[in-house]
Amino acid sequence: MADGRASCHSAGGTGLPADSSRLRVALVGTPNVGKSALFNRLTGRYVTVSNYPGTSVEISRGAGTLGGEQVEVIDTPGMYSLTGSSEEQRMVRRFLFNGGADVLVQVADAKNLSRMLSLTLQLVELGRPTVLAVNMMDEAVRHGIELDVTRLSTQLGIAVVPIVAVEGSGIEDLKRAIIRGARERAPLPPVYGNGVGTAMRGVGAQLAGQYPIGTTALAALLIQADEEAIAAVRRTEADGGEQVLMTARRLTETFDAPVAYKIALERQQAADDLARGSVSQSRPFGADWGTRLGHALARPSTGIPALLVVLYLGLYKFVGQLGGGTMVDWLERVLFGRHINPFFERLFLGIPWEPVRSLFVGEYGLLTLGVRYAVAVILPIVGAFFLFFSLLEDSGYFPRLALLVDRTFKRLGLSGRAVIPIVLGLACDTMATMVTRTLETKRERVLATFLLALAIPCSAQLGVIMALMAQQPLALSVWLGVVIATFVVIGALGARVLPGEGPVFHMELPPLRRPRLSNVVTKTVARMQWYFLEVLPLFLLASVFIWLGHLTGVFELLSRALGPLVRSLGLPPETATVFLFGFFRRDYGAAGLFDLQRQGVLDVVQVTVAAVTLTLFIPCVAQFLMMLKERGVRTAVAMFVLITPIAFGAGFLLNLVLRSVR
Amino acid sequence: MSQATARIMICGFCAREFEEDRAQTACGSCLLNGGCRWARCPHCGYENPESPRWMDRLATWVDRHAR
Repeated sequence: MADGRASCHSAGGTGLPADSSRLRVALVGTPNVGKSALFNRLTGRYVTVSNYPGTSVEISRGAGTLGGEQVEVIDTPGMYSLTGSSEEQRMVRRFLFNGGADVLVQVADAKNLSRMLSLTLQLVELGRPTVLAVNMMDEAVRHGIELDVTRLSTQLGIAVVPIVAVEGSGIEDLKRAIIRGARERAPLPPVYGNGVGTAMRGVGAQLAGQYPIGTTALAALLIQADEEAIAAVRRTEADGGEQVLMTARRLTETFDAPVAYKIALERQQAADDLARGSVSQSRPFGADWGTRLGHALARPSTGIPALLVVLYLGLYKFVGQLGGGTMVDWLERVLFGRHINPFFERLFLGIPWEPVRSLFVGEYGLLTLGVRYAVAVILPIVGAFFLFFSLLEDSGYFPRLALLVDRTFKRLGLSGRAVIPIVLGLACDTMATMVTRTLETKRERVLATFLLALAIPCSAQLGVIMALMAQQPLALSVWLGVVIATFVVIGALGARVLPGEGPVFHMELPPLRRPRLSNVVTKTVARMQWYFLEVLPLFLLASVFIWLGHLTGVFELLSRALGPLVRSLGLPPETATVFLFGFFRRDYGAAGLFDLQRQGVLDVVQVTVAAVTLTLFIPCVAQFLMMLKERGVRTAVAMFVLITPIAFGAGFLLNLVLRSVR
Repeated sequence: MSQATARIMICGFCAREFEEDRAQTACGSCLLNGGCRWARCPHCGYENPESPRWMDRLATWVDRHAR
C-alpha cells in the first residue's frame, strides 16, 4: 500500500504532482454511469489500453488538455465501493491507495444520486482532491429531478458539476473544476455517528506515520481489520502498529453488528441526508409504467398476486400443460411410440442373447427407456421451463422477487440474496448448491443448501410434476402447499436451531425491461444444450445400472426392500423403482412417475403422495456430491439423514389425511 | 502494455456489466474451473449461460449474409 508512487504524495495536500510530470486525473464511478463517454470527451482519440500491474483488469489512459494544461486521464473499471472483493474493485483500490491519481473525478448518475454518494464519501475520506461530475442531467430533468449544486458542493466540500457527457454539455465547467480542484487543498473527511465516527477518529488520531491515503480512510480500513491496511501500519508505525490496532479492536468490540455493515450503513445514512438536502423531485420518480410496475412487483400487496399469476400462466399452463402435456404426448406417442422405438426393436431383433438385447431395447433399454426419457419426456418439459425462466430473467423480474421474499426469507435465516441459489435451483439444484457459497454467512450457506436439497425441485422434476398434475388442479395445489409449508416450517426451525447472526441484504434494483427475443432465445438454447449434454449420458448410465441391477437381481432386491416403505405411503410396489430412479437423478425418478401415471397404475391421491415424497426425498447423486464438496462430509451426511425421514414422514401423513378426507 | 478486447456480459440477475473473462476469476474455486459454459457474475454470483459457440457462428454468418 505504501509503495509505488505513493511517496510522491501525502494525504491532505493539493493534487498537484510533486514533480513536473503531467497532472493525472482518474475517472471513478459505478458501472453504466457514462465514464467512458466522459473519458472520450476529455481525451479525444489518443487512448492506450493497459493492464494494471499485477492484474488482468484493463484501465484506459489518454492525453487531454484542461485549461491549457496537458493532463493524463485514466478511466478505471466500474465499482460500487472501495472495499469490494471483485478483482476490478481491488485493482481500483490499489491504484488509488498507491497515489495513482492527482485528482479524482467521480462520475455519478444524476437519476440515482443518493446511491452514488456513498462512494463519493469514501473518495473524500481518501483525502485527495475530488470533483463530482453529475452525469445524465438531461434524463434527470426529464424525470423531474432538480439538483441544488451549490448546496451539495458546500456540504461535501468538493466541486460538483452537472454534465451530459454524451452531448458534451458541462464539460468545459468540469475541466475548470478539475484544474481548480488540483490547486486547492483536499476536502475535510465526513463525520459519521453511531460510534463509527468515534472509532475512525480514535484510530486516526493515533496514526503517526506518513501514508498515501487520508487517515480517515485508513482508520476505516483498520477497524474493518483490512489485511493490507494492517500490513501498512505494521510497516510504518514505530511500535509496529500495536497501539493503533489495539485501539481499533477496543473501539469496535461493542458494536452490535459487523463493522463493515455498520460503516456501510453510516455512509448510506450520510449519503441519504446529503441527497435529501440537495435533490428534489417535482413529480414522483417512476411516473412511467415500467418503473411503477417494477415497484408493484416488489411490494407484497401487489407482488404476491402477480407472482401467483406468473406461476399459474408460466409453470402450470405453459410448462405443465403445453410442454408436459401436448409436446410430450406427441413425442412419446407418435415419434417414439410409432417410429423410433419400433425401429430400434426391429434393429435388435437379430441379437439372440436376451440379456444383451435388453440392454438396448425393451422395458429398461438404453434406447427405448434412456433416450426416450431424455428426449421425449424431459427435453420438451425443460425446454418450455427454460423459455419461461429466460423470459423472466431478461425482464429483470428476479431482483424484484428477491425483494419480495426478503422479509419471509429472514425468518428462515436467509436473506433476499438467497433467491439467487433458490431460483437457480429451479433450473438445477446441483449448480445452485455450488452458488450458495456466494451467501455471506456460514449459517445462511448451510440453511440454503439444506432447503435446496429438501424442497426445491429442479427444472425437469418441476416440469414433470406440472405435467402429471396438469389435469388435477386440486392435487397440484396440495403438492404446492405441502412443499411450500415444508420449506417454511423446516427453514424456520433450522434458523432457530442454527446459531448465528441474521443476514443483511441490500441490492440496487435494476430497471424492469422489455425482454429481447434474441436474448431469450439464446439463453434458452444455451440452457437446453447444457442440460441435454449433461442429462443424456447420465440417463444412459442410469439405464445401464438398472439393466445390470435387473440382470443380477440386485434391483429387485432393493425394490423389495423399499416395498414396505412404499406401501406405508399407500403406493403400489412399482413406485419403489421410481424412488430408486429418483436417487440416481431426480428427473429420472420424476419421469418414471410420469410413466406410471400414464399407464394408469396410480390414482390421484397416489400421484400426489408420490410427487410430494419424491420432491422432498434426498437429492440426486450429483447434488449430494456437491453438498459433500461445499459443506463437508459431516454436514452433508447429517442433511441426508434428516431429509429422508422428513420426506417419507410427509408422504405418510399426507396419505393418511387425503384418504380420510376423500 | 497489452491490448485486449473482451466480450461484455450483462448479468441476468443484477443487470451489472462484467467482462466475460472476469467471470472466470469468480469461478476459480469450482471443480470445472471455468471449463463450463456458465459465466458467474463477479458482483452477485448469479450463473449466466454463455451463448453456444455454434449460435455465435450462426449469428455472424447471418449478419454477413444479410448485408
